[in-house]
Amino acid sequence: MRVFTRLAMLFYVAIILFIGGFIISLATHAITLAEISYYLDIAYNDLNLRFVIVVVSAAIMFLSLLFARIITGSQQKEKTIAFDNPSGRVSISLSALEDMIKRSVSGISEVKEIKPSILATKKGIEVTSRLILKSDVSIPDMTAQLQELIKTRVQDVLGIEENVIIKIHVTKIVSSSGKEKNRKNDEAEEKEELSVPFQGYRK
Amino acid sequence: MKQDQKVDYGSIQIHKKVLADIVLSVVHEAGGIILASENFIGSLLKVLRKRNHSGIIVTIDKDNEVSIEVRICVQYGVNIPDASRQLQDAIRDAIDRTTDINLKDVHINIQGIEGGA
Repeated sequence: MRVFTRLAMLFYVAIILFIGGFIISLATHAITLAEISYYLDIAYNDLNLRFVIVVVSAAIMFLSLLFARIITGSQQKEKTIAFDNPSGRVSISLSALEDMIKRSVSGISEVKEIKPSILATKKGIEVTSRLILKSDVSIPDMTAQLQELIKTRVQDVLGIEENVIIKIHVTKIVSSSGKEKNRKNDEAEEKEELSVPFQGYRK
Repeated sequence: MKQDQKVDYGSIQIHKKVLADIVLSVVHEAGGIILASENFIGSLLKVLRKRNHSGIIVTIDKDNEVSIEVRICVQYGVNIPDASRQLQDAIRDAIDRTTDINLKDVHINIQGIEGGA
């Protein structure tokens, strides 16, 4: 665990312990209202003490924001694929590739949702996609089509012949919405009507 | 902050922003590549029509050697290894031609792929 994360945890634990201890003391009458009122009165009227309280409060707020930024920043630290050229290093953000896969697949109507995650391993580039499909879809055909599409897209962009392993997990199959079903039914009816164009035709 | 060069009549200082400007021009000329300006300040500068260098980081180390990191987005269909190699060469060439500074490293960081839907 990083030093900043430990410090942040210590900071928040100390504050929560203090608040918790204060509330418990208040609830168990370990501190009386008169005592609280007495100390608040001193703090409210003493100019130096007010100044100290303002500085300490501002410092706590600043530290809190700083820790929040550091923690979220470290979480957002990007995973990359990197290779070296004579002029320097080229790193490609994996989230960029994941985003591209999402956009590529968004055009396929049978796929409701895809969550790709990419790992660069010794075996090659491993793309694991969690998939939510709509019903009435042939899963083997659809997954094979998706594997081919993702593989082509990743290889096109990276310009490498490195092994790209595509793993697909179909996590859920959702039924098509009512509107879509109606649309499909309408289309089917139209097709049926159109399939007999010369019905009842006589000279 | 500035790259210092000694000549017979005195010294010439080149600000990091100058190098960033040159890199910006090279990126604009390159096809299928745009500078990644993801942060709030970058967007604000864009609105104010100021030069945005948020995707270009120029560092000068203790030995006075200059390295450049460029954060970019590429269009879908661009071959990344080829495009990045060409961009690195173009940046190195432009900096060398304009300022006579030999760059230590030109790092390319690809942060997004545009299009491809």
